[in-house]
Amino acid sequence: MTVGTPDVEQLRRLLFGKDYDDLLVLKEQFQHSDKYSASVAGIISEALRLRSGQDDSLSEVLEPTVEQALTRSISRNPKGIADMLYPVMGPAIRKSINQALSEALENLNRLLENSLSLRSWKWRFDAWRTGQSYAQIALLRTLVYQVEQVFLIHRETGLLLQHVESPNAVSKDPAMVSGMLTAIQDFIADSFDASQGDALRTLSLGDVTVLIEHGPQAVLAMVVRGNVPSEELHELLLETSAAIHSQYASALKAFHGNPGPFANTATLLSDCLKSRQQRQQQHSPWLAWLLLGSIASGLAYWTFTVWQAQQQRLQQEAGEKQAQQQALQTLSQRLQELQSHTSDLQTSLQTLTAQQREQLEQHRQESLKLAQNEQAISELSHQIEASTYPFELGKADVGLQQPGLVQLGENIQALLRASNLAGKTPQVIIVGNADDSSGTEEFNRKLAQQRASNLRDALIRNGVPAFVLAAYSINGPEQAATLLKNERSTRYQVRLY
Amino acid sequence: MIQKKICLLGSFSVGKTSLISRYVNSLFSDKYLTTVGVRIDKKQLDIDGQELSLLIWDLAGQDDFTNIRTSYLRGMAGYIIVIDGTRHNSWDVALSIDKLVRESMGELPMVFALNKADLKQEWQLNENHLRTLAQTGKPLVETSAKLGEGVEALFSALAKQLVVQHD
Repeated sequence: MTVGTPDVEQLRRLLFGKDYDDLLVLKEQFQHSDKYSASVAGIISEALRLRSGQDDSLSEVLEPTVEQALTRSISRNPKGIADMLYPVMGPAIRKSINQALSEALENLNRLLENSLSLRSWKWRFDAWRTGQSYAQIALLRTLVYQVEQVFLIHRETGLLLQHVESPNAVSKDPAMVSGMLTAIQDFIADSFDASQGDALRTLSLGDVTVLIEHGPQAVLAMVVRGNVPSEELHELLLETSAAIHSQYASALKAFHGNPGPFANTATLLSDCLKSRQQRQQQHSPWLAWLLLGSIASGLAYWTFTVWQAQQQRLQQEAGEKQAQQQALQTLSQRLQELQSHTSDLQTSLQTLTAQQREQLEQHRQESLKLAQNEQAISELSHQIEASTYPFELGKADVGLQQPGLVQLGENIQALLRASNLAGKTPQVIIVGNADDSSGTEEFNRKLAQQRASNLRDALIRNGVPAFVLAAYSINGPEQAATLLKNERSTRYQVRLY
Repeated sequence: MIQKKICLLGSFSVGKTSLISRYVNSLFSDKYLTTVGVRIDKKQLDIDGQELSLLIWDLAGQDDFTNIRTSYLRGMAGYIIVIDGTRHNSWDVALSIDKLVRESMGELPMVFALNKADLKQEWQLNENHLRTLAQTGKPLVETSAKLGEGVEALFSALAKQLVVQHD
């Protein structure tokens, strides 16, 4: 490689000798990026390791680049990052949940102890007596110490860069407090002619202590309540101050009133919010367990009660259902019985109707028969009463086979049967008669009697029962008014009883 | 939001604390002035869209600059020197303080406050005094802590300088 005119080139070689070639090689390396990159690649890892061993500036420089690279990688392919983090995140989440549950149980137990114990009532009394809140009294009685606030203050101006506080701390305007803290330090330094480099490290009033750590650019102040382990906390402040000065060195140097660049120091400062409670005898959180057990028992009892009530209701419903079914069955049976009864009644009714009809028929038949019988009786009575027997003059002989007599006997027997059917007893009165135109009256009377008796006897012989027949002469007491005088025939009268 | 530390300087009993009391609600009581020698207040304001938080250090009154605790001035971004118009001596002290502050702290934004404007008939300052103040090239604001006049303008005048300097 040649640079310039040959003469100049010759002059350079004379002046620098062999080093000139080395310079040209180096120049070529810088001019060609690939060669320069290859050259740097050989030493870059060693250079990074060396610098990271010296201070934290490398981390500070790389931090935005790494954050940007991670952000881009996650936005482009979130699954890849998720897969990588999965083996770590799972156990971490489980551990976190376990820890959170354990802390919750412990806090619940502490809350119960603080709420129910005799000690808590004493604290309440103290709070009432001193006019402080119960939380403050409880905190004072249980804490060995607690870091309530941490200030990061710009040393030169006394302006507040960052401030953190514990959740239960009561703080006033931190920017003004920061200024007063600075002023007080200056006041003490001025008032007591402190030597150069000396600084106020501790302020103490009552149970409040302010621990101060002076860095080159910033001051860390820690407000602690309780019995302060000074060395331990000063060491913590020192470490935190060193970390802040290391990570925010340039921001501290360039500070002109804008605290924005120090927003992230809150994480470091929060690590200083330590607290220590009075060591208590480790014991099982029995109050919490008791409460949880009581709740579980209550729930179980409630569930059992509900279940029991449900069972009773179900049983009651089943009983009611069964009773309803039984009632239904009973009703059904009764209905069937009623239907059966109705059927029987209908049958009975039909039977009765038939019987009644039959009886009516019978009655009608009987009535008919009776009527016929009555008619027959009447006819027979007429026929009998109309019957005559022609006696010879002055005689009383009766021929048994005389057709009129036979017929009369048959009629009387028929009358007897018909009268029997009608429930009556007939009586046929035979009235003997004699022609009074001749003979004496006595003779006629005896003849008439004879004639009636002979007819009666003849009729009895022909089969007519004797009790039916009665024989009288016409002159007897029962002489019929209808009988005529001078008649030889015998007359008959029929009576029914 | 940017923060700036400013100091109120001036002779004894010129009305520095009264001016601040007109301007802010204080967190600390006046006893700090007699014990620690300083009381700090805060005021937030908006100057042309720039939010500004002023930490106002009210230094106990001084008869001359030698009595000032200079450590309190460290890191201040600007200052106000308060003069009591009814007291000639306060004018002398103000000039003395301004000179020495500039010598020790360099050129910083500042404003002169001519207080007790409500008692102008009793003022001991004349045209020459005012001209001398004007020759310093610094703003001069007449104020009355009693009536609340000029107080906002006083702090705004300084705040504007601070914002310009910050930018």
